[in-house]
Amino acid sequence: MIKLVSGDGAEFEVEEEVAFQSKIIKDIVADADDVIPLPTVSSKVLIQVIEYCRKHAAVNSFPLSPSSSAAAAASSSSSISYSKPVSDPALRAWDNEFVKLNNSSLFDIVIAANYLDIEELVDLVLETVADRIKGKQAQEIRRQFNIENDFTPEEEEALRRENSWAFQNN
Amino acid sequence: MAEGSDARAWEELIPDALGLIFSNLPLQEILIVIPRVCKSWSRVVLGPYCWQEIDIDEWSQHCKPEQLNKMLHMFIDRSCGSFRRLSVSGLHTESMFTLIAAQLELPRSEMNDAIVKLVAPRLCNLTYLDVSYCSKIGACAMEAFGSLSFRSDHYALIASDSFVKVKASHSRFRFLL
Repeated sequence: MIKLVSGDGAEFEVEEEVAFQSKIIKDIVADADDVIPLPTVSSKVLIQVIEYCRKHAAVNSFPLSPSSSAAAAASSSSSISYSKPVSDPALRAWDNEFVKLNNSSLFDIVIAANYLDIEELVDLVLETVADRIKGKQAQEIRRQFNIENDFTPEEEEALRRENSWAFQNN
Repeated sequence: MAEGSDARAWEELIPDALGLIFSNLPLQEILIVIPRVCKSWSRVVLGPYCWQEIDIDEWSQHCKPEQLNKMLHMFIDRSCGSFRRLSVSGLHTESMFTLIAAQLELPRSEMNDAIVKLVAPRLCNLTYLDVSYCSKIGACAMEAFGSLSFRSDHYALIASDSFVKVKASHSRFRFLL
């Protein structure tokens, strides 16, 4: 077992295969002890990250649910990829539920995931954020993400015109 | 850190992460909407972070040649030459082809054998090549591509049936006819 200590001092014991979803922790454990302080990660965020790693570690060691393994075994020349967990629809669905969080929580998770080098989690959160931006106007995006408009109206209008040539066809 | 409050500094998220977010958006939103959100987002769109993988295949099928030329120049400037993949349709001129040198997906393009022979030796970073339906290039151009020493073996050559005869001499190519 590996002990992770959050910035606010909470301790979490997790199995190696769960902690090793983070490449950084894997590297640290290789040449240090089993208590790993993570001073920049709060306990609230660490709980969420561990939840994600626990799920993904379980799916990585047992790639498919029993019913789908049976189906894979049944088709002799199966092309199902066991090494790509995100292609597992059940895990994909779980991921989609996992990211149903407010923007602040997603922000904290992506900072932590980036720090811990959990690539799939970083990608998942960034894709989710992109989905929340997609199709919105600048003003709506600012409101949703609490971003201050630091442009003058003139600057904003100039930016609106700057690349409009690319979408004026015929 | 004010947990629970909704005040994270999204404008100050590291540029690589912002670039990855933006690269998931449609081209029109990256170029027209995102730069107007705030100055830091605007800077990210100007820099290389969201131009690592460029897919303008759909856009390029409906644009004018001068628009395509301008767009390619813009991408190459912004990505500082660091883009890994470009997907575009219908390149019209030789100069456009010479702009590009990493991963090529150039279906329905107009470059000819002579220009391919000229440019191919410079494409030393090429890992993927799609020249399907490029009606003006033939065996001669394929020989030029074939003589490249690819860095990895993860590439495919997607060509039309006029190149079949090159197949025998270049077993490193995977032909998808």
